[in-house]
Amino acid sequence: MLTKIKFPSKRLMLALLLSLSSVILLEASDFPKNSSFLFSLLSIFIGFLIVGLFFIPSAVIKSKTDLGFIAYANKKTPSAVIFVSALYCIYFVYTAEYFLLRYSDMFSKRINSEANIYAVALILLAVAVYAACKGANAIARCSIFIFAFSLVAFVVIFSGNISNLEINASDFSFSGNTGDFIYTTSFFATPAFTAVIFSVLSGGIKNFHSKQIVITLIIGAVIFGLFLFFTVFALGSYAHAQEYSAFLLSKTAHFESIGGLDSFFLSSSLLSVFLVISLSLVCICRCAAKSGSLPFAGVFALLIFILFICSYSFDGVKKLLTDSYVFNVFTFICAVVIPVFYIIFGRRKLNV
Amino acid sequence: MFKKIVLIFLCVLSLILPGCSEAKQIDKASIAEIVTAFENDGKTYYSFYFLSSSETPVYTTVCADSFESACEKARSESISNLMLTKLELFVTEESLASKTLKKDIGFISRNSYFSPLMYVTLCDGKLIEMLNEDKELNESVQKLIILNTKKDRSVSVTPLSIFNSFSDNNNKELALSYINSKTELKSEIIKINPQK
Repeated sequence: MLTKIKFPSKRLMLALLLSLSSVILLEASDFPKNSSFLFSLLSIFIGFLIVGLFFIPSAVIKSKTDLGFIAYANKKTPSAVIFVSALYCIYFVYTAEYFLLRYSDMFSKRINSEANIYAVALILLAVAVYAACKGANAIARCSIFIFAFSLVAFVVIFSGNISNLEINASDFSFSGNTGDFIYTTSFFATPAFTAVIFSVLSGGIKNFHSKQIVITLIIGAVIFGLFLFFTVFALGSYAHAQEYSAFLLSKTAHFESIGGLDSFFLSSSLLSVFLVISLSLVCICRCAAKSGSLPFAGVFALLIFILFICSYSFDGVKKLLTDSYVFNVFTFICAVVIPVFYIIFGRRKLNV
Repeated sequence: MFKKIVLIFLCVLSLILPGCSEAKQIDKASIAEIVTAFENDGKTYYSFYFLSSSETPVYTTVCADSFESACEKARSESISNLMLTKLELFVTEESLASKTLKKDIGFISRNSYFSPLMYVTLCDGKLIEMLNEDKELNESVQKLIILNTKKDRSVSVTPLSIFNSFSDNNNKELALSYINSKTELKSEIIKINPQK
């Protein structure tokens, strides 16, 4: 039976950090060829600055009222909350679908093209439903172990690539065009989906400080920066010959004659996607005020699976569900527009 | 009761998931360990050396313009289940360096099933003949390539480093490993112009 006891905010931040790392792990071919390392580094900085801004409305609501956004909206507009909840449910279905599709694409293109991708998705969703039933606290606890594993995986991948590094002073030039800048910044702003998860789950956390968000985003930006650094200097042009440069990094990582460290990458990417999907399902349950409900989470997981089948049947659906621009606009609406509207609306109501 | 049902479900699932129905006999799988490219009577040939338990090398040779078409030809003509994921060594006869190496490395770099860290070297024609007879030569060649990397850090011995040298437009000479087998096996470094 689930209890209403609040859990430490550090745990949720850890889960969000791991969730946002899935963006770089499942990166397909999002690094532009002609941009320099410093130019892409600037995109990471701007991207994460945008992610930080997306967190502000929900952090303000949490600091002032100690409530999650849905609970806050319910308090302010009880009659309209059903529409807000429905919109957030659609958003979390989109989020889960976005990462599930990206993961299954990576799995079929890089790991096993003959595997039944529907079975992989179904099993992943089934485990996520179970995790969602246990609640955000259980998932956040689980993220401690996932973090330990991911830390080892990242250290192994990066240290195994040190011998491949070829750094020249000329590689530190600053070049790139506006189109590339918009594209990469949009890609590096994708982790903003964690702000929406935070806005919904923040009601269940205690000991929250705004600096925790800053620390989480700094660590996230460092991870992204490290992946970019090794992609540029250890893989070079080879990174653009194939998709999924993070996976390629795990293949090129080696210690003397010991190689084949891609299983570390595969495990950490799977675990991070599992966190995103299970947290999305928890958020859906919270939006519908049915925390820990197996049938409810199951119904939405089924919906995600049906959409998954549709996207593999119709290319247009898949393009729409994996478009980072659409995802970012949707995130902007859910993380900034609606919460800011409620903050302003709430103040006016108090003034009246 | 619910836990027992879940346990039974997981037991049944564990029988389905390992994919035993799709299993392939390793002897029949045709796993290539070495590929050699050589020239004979003005034509280019590619030989695939397979993982096997026999004492002499098991290989097949196809005539093709590039490694890509050699793979296609080998799959369509003789080895339908040709596997290249375990390829350790790609040997090209020196005379073909300017003709096929760039194309072949490009093909390797585009396909994720190849290891970016397999060894690539140039050699003389005699080594190709020796590889056809001596199964243990693979290890000796790999040791010589490693020796070359220790002699000179700038030498490119993997598809990763060779592809990057081909992609750079700085007119720098590309240092490749070369195995000389005239009297005894010797490792040397040969420099080519990647832009040619």
